[in-house]
Amino acid sequence: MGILKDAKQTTLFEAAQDLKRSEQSHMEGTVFDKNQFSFRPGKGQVIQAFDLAIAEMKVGQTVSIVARSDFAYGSKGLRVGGKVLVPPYATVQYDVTCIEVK
Amino acid sequence: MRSTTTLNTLSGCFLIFWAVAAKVVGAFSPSSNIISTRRQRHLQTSIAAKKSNAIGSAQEVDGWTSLNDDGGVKLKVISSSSPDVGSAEKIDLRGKDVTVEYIGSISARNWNVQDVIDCWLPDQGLPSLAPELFEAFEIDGKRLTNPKKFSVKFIKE
Repeated sequence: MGILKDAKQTTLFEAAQDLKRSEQSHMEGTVFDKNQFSFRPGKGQVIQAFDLAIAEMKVGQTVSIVARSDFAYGSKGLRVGGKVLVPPYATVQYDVTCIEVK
Repeated sequence: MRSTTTLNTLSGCFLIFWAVAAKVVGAFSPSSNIISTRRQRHLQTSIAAKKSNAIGSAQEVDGWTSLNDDGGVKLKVISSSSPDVGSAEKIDLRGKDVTVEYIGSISARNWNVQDVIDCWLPDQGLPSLAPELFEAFEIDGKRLTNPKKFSVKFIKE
């Protein structure tokens, strides 16, 4: 990897360590959201993983969805009121029940 | 003056002849095409295989089904319909509102090399050569976050 300048090498190392720190601060299994809501699929109202999954679901069915960060909250993560709920690049899991379609 | 023109004409003719000859020989010599096609196929196959292996493929594994080409979203059915909540049929959702109940939690990242290259690397502002290096050094999520393996010294070298 010797093609990188010194400053960039340190930045890259730090960015990788940020990932590690986020893993430690937001342990696997930490619940960050629990809710019931309505949305219209395919309109960008929800994360991409939700749109993909709901198209495969049936009413009354409960599924687990595991979404890599690029299908969920990406490089920014999810913050609400300054609090980090989902760290950057996090893989998230949703347990979803389809209640109603109308 | 005349000899220069003749010379130019001759060299022009020679170039045209050379180009035509190369085409004719190429047309009757399919081996180079076969090799390149084979090589291309091999490359395409290995890239596809690598991508599919890397991210878990579209097949069902332990009840998990991949919802996209590269396994970025996986779904597992936990329970099927309950009798008091409508039809068990998959329905057309176009133009409809869906009500869901959900619990969102942090999951294990488990990045493989391709995930690192696709998700994380593009945001680091590195030279275009970086993906090849990450692939060559097999830097997956575990290696990336291990300061002993992905150290400043390693990055420097």
